[in-house]
Amino acid sequence: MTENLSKGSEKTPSVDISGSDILIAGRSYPEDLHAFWDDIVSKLENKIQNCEVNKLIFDVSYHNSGTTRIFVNLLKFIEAADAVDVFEVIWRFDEEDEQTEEQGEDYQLFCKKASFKLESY
Amino acid sequence: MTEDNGFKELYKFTGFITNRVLDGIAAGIQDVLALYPNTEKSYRKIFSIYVEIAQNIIFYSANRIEIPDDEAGYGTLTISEADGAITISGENTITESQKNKLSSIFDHLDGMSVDQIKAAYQEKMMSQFDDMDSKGGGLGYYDIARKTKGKIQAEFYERDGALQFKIIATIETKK
Repeated sequence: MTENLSKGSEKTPSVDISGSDILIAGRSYPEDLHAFWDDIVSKLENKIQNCEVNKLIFDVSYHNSGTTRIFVNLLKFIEAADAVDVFEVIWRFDEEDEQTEEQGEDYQLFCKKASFKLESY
Repeated sequence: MTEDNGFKELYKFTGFITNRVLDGIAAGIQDVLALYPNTEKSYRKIFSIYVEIAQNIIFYSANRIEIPDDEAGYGTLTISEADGAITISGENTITESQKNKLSSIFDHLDGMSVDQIKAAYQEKMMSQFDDMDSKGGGLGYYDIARKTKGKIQAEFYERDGALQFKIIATIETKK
């Protein structure tokens, strides 16, 4: 069963929870950063805290610096969660997209306890 | 399109920039840059720098008006091409407090090597964002510096008694 938290648009990603996986996909440069992200992040953090999810997949082709702040805080939350040892973060990127690959490498720095994998396609 | 000494101005917009203006120019950039095959590999970086600069004007220009369901900041966006490089600039009114924050960021970035910029970006990302008035905590400027490999300039000046900030970012697109 898939729970859809955002359908996604030109400027906002889709956010889905499928089983124990969270998938964030698309672009993120919303017109109002907090109006879009705050409620979604709150629901995701609740599910992480309650061990209802154990995998976060990013498939984001572009995001602005405001969204970086959101992603960083989400990764910090995962690192502080009780079940961090079994949590997996996957950062997907187009193999020709050097920018998104570098961003994945940056986010990897935050994951000391959670597993973090870079996956090209 | 104007041309001066090989410097081709592809876009120039002065006025209240809204999210809808951002969308329109973004669509135009995609179409126009398709005419420059050497920009294909760097298109994502050009797009991301454009969005950062445009959103900075929309959210932070000190000259703004209230409109329903959107934000509107007054400023100038320019995109030009010269000798295989794309330059994106943004210009808007700022407050004295904004000038102090921006000066601090650009003083920090001044003279850094590409590796030093990468390290500074990561350090900024790792640190707690302490400016709650800012959506990205200043990280966007470090990001632009990284994407342009340091080809970023900031200018501060006065016009009609108001403080102005101009950012100029250049992406080399030659293969």
